[in-house]
Amino acid sequence: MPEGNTKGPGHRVVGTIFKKELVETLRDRRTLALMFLLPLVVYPFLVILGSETASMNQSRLEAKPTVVMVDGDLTMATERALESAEHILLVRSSTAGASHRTPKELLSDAEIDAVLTASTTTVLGRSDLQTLHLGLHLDRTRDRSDLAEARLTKALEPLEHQLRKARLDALGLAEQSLAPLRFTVNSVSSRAEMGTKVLAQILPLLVLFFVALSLFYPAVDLTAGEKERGTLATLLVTPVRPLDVVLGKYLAVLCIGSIAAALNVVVIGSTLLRVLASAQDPLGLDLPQVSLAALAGLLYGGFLLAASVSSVMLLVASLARSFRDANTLMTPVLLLLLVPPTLLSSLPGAATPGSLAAVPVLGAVTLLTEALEGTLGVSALIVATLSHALFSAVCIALTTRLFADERALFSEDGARANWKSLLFEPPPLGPGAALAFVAWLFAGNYFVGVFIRPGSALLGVAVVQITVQLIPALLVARWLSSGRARDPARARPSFASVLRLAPPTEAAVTRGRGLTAGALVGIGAGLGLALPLTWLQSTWLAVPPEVSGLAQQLDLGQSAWPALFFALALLPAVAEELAFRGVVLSSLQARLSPLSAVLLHAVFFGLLHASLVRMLPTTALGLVLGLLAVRTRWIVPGLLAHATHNTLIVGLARFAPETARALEEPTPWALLGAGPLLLAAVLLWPRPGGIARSGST
Amino acid sequence: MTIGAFDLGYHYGQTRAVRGVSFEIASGEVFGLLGPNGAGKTTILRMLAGVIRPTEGHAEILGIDVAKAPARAKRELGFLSGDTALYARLSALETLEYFARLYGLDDATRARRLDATIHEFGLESLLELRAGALSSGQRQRLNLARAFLTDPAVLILDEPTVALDVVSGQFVEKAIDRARLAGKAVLFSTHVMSEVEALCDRIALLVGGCIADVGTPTELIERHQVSSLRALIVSLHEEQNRGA
Repeated sequence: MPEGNTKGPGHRVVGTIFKKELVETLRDRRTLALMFLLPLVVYPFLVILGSETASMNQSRLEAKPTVVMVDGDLTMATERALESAEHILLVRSSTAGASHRTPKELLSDAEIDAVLTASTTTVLGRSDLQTLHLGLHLDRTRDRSDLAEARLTKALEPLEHQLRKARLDALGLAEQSLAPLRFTVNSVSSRAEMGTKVLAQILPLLVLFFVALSLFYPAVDLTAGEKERGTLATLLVTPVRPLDVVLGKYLAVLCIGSIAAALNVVVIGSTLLRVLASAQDPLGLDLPQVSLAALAGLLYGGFLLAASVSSVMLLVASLARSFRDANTLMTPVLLLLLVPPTLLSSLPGAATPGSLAAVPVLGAVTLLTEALEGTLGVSALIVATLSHALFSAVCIALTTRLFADERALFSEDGARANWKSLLFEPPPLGPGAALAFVAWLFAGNYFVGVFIRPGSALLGVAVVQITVQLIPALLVARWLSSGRARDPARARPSFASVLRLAPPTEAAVTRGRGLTAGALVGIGAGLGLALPLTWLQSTWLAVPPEVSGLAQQLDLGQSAWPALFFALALLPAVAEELAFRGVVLSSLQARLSPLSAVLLHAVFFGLLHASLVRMLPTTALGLVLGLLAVRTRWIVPGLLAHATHNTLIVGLARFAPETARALEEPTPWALLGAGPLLLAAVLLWPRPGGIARSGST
Repeated sequence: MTIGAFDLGYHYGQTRAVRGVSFEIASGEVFGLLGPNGAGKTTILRMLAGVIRPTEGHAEILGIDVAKAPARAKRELGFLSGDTALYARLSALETLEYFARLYGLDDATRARRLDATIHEFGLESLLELRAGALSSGQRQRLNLARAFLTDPAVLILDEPTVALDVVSGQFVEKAIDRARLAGKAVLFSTHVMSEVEALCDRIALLVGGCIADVGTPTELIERHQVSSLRALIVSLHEEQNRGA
């Protein structure tokens, strides 16, 4: 036996691995160069060099006079004005021998920057009233054309104004008399706001680019690099869990990514500010004001970016066997990371919609943009945080699967075999499978809800229930129960046991008792749980109008009763029971104690209803239904309870809206629900001599 | 019984690397796995060390089923192979510290074991050097120290002297001998016959993923009426090829 205490808690092992990976990575010059040298030295140097070259080029252009060829006769006043103007050199077409040639032909001479055609007409047949028509011809493909336009406009505009005023005076007219309509254009955005807009377009993309670049090498080094060098085998003979290894590595990569993100935000931001400052005049911009809150938003967005990019890069790099392999695999990932945000920000009119906050990576980039524009809201922040945490967790879980599978680590056929084992072999039942399914439910609910908008809200609810919960729950349960277990210690569960379809043959609670308890729970929870809890939380949480308007949206009053019953009571009961009491709870129960599994699954159930207002009542309902499922080991009592509960709520709202409202107040009626619930508890209570623990497997 | 293989088998795809391998090793015994390349030596050692999972049968370390409780089994064993590498950018001391922490040794035990191991393997002058800067002999010494670090009851060594010069090879042999005297069970695979003769109490001859015979070197030579172990391996290999 080894001496001493050898039991190391997981977090300490994760900490040890994290520290070592960080130290080792930071000792590598390539990482250091990408992490510090690039943002701190190379990038500012290049940008400042670039902007100074541009401004030097501008000065060089401005130092040279604009050569204007005049074709036709100018008036005395015009000729004087042009000749006295700075940086304008007039050339006569006759002296250049260029008559009978078009302006385009004349401009083919590189020495000539602009051609000014002049002709005179009389007005109203009066020889004393003449108009000089000046046409400025430019070749817009040439750098100097803009400058020529600006210089000639500057020389001729005051003269035009002055001559018009003189003529009006001669005619005895006031200047305003010539203006029955005056059209002016005004921009309400300040020059500083325009500057912010430019910054908000460029900065997030640059930060994304540099964060991805600085993470590339560490992610590959800590995974494929370790395999190639043979150190991974050394690590895997130690008593560490694959999850601890992956977490340690992830934290190290995340740390590097966060530092890189923060450095890039600060350095690129200040460099861009400097460039904007030196270029503010030609662009018509002022220095944007970046507030402390915006800076905090930027740093947090950068952190989320680092978190999501790190996790996906670690996953993809773990599929590779060597550096070369990793390079091949990572290139498309880099493109996938970089192209969508670039397209979105450069497409005209593609204002980033708020729903993007939920898309990993893209959401973080949006967050950076909104932080700069000052439009960052709390809900976007929460959605982005949750979705990025979920995305990273899924990537980490998949990476852990790779690290737990020796074929991924030692097989000779490289990445392809890994993909297969990763994608097609079902994971064992456990919190990982539960989390992955909950992630799907979140994403599915969100995106199906956003992108599929059928005619009526009722139909929408039904579509989401069927496509996101019901069918996937059946498919996932089938998948989880398919194939041969890699781990001989853990046999595959059966389809029926995952979904609790079969009535238990030897449970602590008989079928009759279970069904009765289910009906009682449904009635009790409908009267005694949802409504009073809704009232309770309304004392500190204001119900937003879009939630209380849900009833109108669902057309409770107009829809046919069978349709209402099907879409709001029966279907949700079947779909949610299979998804939550089936896949999620069974997966959690495989590794956790029944009570913690029920608690955790109830929190997921509450969160999935994606509304702050409905969270407390739905979590409580999840808790009760979870306990029911665990005690009876059968899906049918919960299904009955759920359907009864929903029927009660929907029925009251439809047929007796006054009673429903009354029940939301703290009346003695609310206590009605406590009775059935207590009765159900008595029915389900473990009897002496019964089975104390009712974990399914 | 300290190490036990019970009807171990491993196959991937259509390839059957190991089949029906059973043996038991007692404390204080050095057990050698002998066989040509591709005979399945590394696969067997990896299954016993919990690095890969057997597809048939099971492996035990101190009575712990390796596939069912890999972390618990790994805690009891030190594993070293000719190609397990060390982190090039960590110093020798950092390497030992790191692995001691991964095994969850408490502070006092860790300090004591580090001191003892550094002394035992003569690493004092190398402590500050990074593993990348060590010679291959020095590196294997450090690797050996890593495997012995927790003073495990079981040592599994996969061709530990491969690519080492005579002096370093001698160092490994001495370490194995000390482990035997300390009552550890040592399972190792090798190609070097002198090592087998000097160290092994018993050996298993491995041909084509199956054990052809088990016994002391003298027993095996007498039983098969050959002049040496080398001749025995060659003849078994040829026999198998004829049969195939």
